[in-house]
Amino acid sequence: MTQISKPFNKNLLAMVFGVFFGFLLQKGGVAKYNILVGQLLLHDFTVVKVMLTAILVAMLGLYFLHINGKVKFHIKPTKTASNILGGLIFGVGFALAGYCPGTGAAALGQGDLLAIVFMLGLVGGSYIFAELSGFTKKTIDTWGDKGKLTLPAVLGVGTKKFVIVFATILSILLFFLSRV
Amino acid sequence: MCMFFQRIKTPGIAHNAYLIGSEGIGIVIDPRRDVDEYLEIAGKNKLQIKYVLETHRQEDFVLGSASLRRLTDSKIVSGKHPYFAHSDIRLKDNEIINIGSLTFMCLDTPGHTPESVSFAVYMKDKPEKAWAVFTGDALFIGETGRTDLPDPNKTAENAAILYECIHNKILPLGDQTLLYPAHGSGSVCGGKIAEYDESTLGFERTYNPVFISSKEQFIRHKLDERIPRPPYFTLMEKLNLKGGIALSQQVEAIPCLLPKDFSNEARKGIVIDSRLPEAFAGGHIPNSYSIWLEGLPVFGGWIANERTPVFLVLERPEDLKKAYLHLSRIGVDNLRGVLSGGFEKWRDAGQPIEVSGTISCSNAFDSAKMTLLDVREITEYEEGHINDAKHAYVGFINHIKDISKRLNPRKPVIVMCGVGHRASLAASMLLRFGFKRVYNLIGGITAWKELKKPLVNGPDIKRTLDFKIIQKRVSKESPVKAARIKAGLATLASLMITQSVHAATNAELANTGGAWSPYIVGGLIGLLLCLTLYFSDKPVGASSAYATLAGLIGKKIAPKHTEKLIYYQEHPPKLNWEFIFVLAVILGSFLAALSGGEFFLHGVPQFWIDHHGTNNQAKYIVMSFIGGILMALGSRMADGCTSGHGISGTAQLGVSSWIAVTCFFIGGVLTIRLIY
Repeated sequence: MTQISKPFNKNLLAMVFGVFFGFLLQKGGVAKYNILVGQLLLHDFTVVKVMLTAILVAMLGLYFLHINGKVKFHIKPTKTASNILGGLIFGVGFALAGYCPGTGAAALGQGDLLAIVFMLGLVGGSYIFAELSGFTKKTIDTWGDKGKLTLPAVLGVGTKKFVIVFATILSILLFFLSRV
Repeated sequence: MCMFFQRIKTPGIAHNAYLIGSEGIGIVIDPRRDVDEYLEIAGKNKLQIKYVLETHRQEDFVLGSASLRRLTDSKIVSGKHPYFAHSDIRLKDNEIINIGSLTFMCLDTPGHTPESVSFAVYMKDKPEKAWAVFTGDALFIGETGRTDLPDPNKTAENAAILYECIHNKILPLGDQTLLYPAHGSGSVCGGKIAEYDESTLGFERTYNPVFISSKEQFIRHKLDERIPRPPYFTLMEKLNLKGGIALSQQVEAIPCLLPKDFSNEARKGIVIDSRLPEAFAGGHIPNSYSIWLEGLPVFGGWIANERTPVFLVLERPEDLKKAYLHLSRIGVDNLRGVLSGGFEKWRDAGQPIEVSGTISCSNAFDSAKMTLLDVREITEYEEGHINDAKHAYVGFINHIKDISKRLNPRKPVIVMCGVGHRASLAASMLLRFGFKRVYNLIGGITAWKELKKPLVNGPDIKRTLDFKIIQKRVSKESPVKAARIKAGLATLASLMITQSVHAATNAELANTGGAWSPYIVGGLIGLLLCLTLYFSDKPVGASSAYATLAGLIGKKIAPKHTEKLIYYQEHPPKLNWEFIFVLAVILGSFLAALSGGEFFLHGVPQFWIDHHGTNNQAKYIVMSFIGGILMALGSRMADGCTSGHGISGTAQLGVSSWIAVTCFFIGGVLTIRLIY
């Protein structure tokens, strides 16, 4: 496994990858307010197309690498209540701001100066959450805490089989999306 | 039985009046303001006009009923509605009047307007079946009258009323009944009126939307019409409450002005040039409007009212009578002069000449270098338009003005319509607003289709929203990369300087879609994710970087308190991989925008302004701040954002990520409805 341990190189890589990610977000149009809001209004499916294609490619690539022992997975633990409630609150914020944490940064990069207001909100909100973290850790985080779960494990299907079937489903979905 | 029947058309407004004769009595239905032709035909056929029938108040031209009554001592016959207060014989629903050997039965057929009636005509010797029905603007050939006029918010309610009365009052007259409406194809009173004049109820029953649709489908059809309402309708409604007014000006009284006098006088009003678009583009009087002769009785009313002093430039001297009648039919009565000797005299007198230009559909034009503006009605635009064309209807001069303010005045504008007439008017407006390079796409969409060039269909939110602009793209033939970046930096520098001037234009440029296909971008993001995990052992994520920044700030302000917080105990805030990654995202997006000519500084998104107006910008700022707070709370609670959960987590098939991303969209889709 190729591991670059020097922090300088690590940070340099973070920089390079970040530049590429921001570059791609902007080129895909998903740093644009009207595209993001258009998705929530279900007028414009650019965001879903980008996300599903990324998921499809990344899933195939990552599982291929994983099977060959080249990457370690970083699966986030399933905390059912936190995932649902947090997800819904995130969605409300998404609609209000029209950006998300990654695309907001990209929006600033393309000149949307007011994205900075949204980013300040993110910073403020993060601190508020930290204030509440003692409470959430003891309560909501414990409700429906199932640990690191994957879809194939939950469904009791073989990983390879699941990836192949799921890739097919995603491809079909993307094909239909390309026609609307 | 001896009977006379003639349809008298009025070009330009696609109006039909009818003269019927029976036993020497003439009956005129829905006459226009200038009544000479009716009197002449009646005289030739030895008819004495005794009755003038009005089906409704008419919105699109001045009625001649009151003039005819005065000139022939006839009586006005109408429905019972208060709008017909000027009428002499007001018939109730189903009430009849016998004239000669004909029986006219009045049928209430509201919907287009509340007072609308139709007249069913029976012959005395064949009383069992109706011969014809004069429907005014209720039922046209292949169409029905627009139902938005009384109140645009009640278009659907009025459509339902119209549907009911056509089915219950007109249809029972029988298939043999001839249909004689007040308008033909090209009228502003209906959508797609058929191009022929002869039809029966039986024939209409086979294809007219009102007969082949369910009531719900018909209401949908009427809601979709969206025909612009010209400003002169209001004046017509007022004048026609009295049965219209007589001509107030004599054509002979319009002064012929020599170029110099014309030039001086015309400053007091507006100049309308009625020559063809090609002639106008080749050279015209500065600041004049271009409206082709037959377009005067509609578009003249979009730019002039009854008080506007109007000065005319004509193709031929004999066009004066026509132009005068066209304008007076819609109440544009203040004609102050006509250019003596036409444009040739102006030219010979050495007066200033302005030119625009024409461009043919066979020419290739680069949409990156020009702005394409489609000025047809919104429904025409939706049925098929050229890719990248912006839309603004030619009649809405303020809309054209708004758009023009947002265009780069140094970039040429190509204006287009069906063939080039309306585009010429829009071009003349743009010239008045200071544009120098305006081209009329001559042949318009007709020629474009003839050449089988590609069209885009349907409403497209990105473009039909009014103030959109075509996307500026980097041309593929760009030279080497270094030169490109250099050019980009030069663009940036010049943009910074001219920022205040072009702020609005820039805002619109950023309001378009992505430069690259979403599938390519998505695929590359997927690959990027594999690379970050492979090389850095890190999934792509963004939200935690903000928490890190908050922690760093917290440590500066209240170090002890911050260190005590559980979250920061678990995630000590320091300049980490994620933080650098997000900072680099800003840079990456900047480079992408720069390379694509899409880098522009601006504030409130145009999309917001288009929906909420310019007065609610503070609300946007407050909302995005609150949105940021909620989003941070949500992503910390759910343990990721649209990047961390939405792409990285889902690709690893994490259950938590699929739950979270589903909730992201549920929350977002539900909330956005409260905002838009």
